[in-house]
Amino acid sequence: MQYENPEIPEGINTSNEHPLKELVWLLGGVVLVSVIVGLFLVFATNLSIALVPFSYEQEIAAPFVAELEHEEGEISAYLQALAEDMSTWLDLPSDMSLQMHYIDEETVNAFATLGGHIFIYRGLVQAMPSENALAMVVAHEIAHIKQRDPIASLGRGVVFMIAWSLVTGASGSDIGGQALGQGGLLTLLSFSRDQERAADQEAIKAVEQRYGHIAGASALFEQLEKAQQGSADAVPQFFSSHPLNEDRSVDIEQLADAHAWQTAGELTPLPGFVSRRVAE
Amino acid sequence: MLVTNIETVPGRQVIKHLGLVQGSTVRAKHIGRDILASLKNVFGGELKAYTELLQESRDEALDRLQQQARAIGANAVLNVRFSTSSVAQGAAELFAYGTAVVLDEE
Amino acid sequence: MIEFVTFLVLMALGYGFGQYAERKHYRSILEREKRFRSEVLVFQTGVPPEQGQGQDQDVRLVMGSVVISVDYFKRFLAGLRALFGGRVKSYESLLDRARREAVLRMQQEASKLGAGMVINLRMETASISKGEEKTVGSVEVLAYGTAIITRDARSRFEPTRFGRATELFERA
Repeated sequence: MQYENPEIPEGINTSNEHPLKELVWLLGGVVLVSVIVGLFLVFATNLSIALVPFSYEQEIAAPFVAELEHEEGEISAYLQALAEDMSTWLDLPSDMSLQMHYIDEETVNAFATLGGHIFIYRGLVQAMPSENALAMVVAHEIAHIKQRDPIASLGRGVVFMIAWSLVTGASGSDIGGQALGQGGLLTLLSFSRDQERAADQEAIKAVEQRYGHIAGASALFEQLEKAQQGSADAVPQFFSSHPLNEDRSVDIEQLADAHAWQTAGELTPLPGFVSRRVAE
Repeated sequence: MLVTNIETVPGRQVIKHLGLVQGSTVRAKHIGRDILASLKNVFGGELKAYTELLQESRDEALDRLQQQARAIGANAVLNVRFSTSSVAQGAAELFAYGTAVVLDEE
Repeated sequence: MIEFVTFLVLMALGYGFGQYAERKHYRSILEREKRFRSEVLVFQTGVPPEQGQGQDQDVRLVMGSVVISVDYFKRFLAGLRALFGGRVKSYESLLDRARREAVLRMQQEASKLGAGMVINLRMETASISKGEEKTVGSVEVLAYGTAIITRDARSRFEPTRFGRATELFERA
């Protein structure tokens, strides 16, 4: 009987594949899977959001609205009246109610959030040359509420928080609270371009029906851009997730052509007390 | 290739002892199976995914053991032993080792 | 952001040092295996050679053990692999190195005793930190067997760190 220990060739119990190559493949797979799962989640959330009653939206919005500093006064009352007027032209469902809030700050911005609350900054009102333009902005925000964009945005936020906490193993308690808590209502400003475009179209239609022409409203985006350039310190929030202003103007022009809307007409000025107050 | 876990093969003589050969592998199931398995922990019962995982790994470890034995000119592996350890969560490490030998022809 | 930078730095460090350590270790393993291959034969079967239990031979328990840790890069890779399933290559080389190192240390032990052969080799693998959060996976491998020492070689016998164990073994 013979005894020996021959040399065993390498690479049977290990592999020679470069570890970086494996890393690239695996990371690529993770990205691909996340994109697919993400798209699916967005789709599923958008479908299920219609089932959430509007009253629930109002309930969760209440504590945050109370925190935001806003003025109750004649301008708020004027904005409220304008919003009520526009909402009839927008066919807002009867179970939805609107609440306008005026914020006395330089920022050129307006936003709609949960529970039918719409916030308008002084900077924006100041930049409006006519009531027609302001009505366009208000109608745009009402359209967001009608489309239920804020709750869809919150829903997406919550769903992604849950997905993220599943992946990272973070504590799953009070995820909804965290989604709301981080940045409060401002996190809800991120609407998709499609949502913005749909809101634009609804808004311009309502303005046309209300005033009989779209003068003032169609030029809104150029004026907003000018106002933004004027105030360098203002964060261009109104534009951040919006389609390019030029594209929006072009879209509106096309819509006007298609419906043969009047593009010229008499502009309604802003009430004198509003112009005076915002100029102070 | 003859693989046994006894030290001698009845009726055949060992001509040459070629020493230790080993086969090992570390494998994991994808996360979906892990989640299903953790659900199964609630109800009890066989974790099919893991049975499968361990069986696949064991087969691969044995296959690698035989590859080593073939590479050094053996025609049998005697006294094979298995060992399992968990190196990382959800991954199974299977190790098989034995002695490679040359047996005479029947 | 800071977390991401830390992660990248750890990945780069893990990759750099890990690859360097692995290559160095494999070089050393290959070199020592070459030396011991003829000096101390290793068999996993328990049957000693024909002259095995003869008067002129003695037996001793010998062992070798090692604990090796995986680097950050490989641990991350293994974590990703666990999502998709399949062969966790980054741990395979870790275990391969640990086993071969343990056997080599056992051979060295046997060689010190003047043994020319180790039979009935057994191996144990234990993971010291089982993939817990924030700990680096590490494995311990123990290889042990019976060294067969020829009598004339016993003069070369030196006490080893297993001195007590071998004494007990001797008495038995």
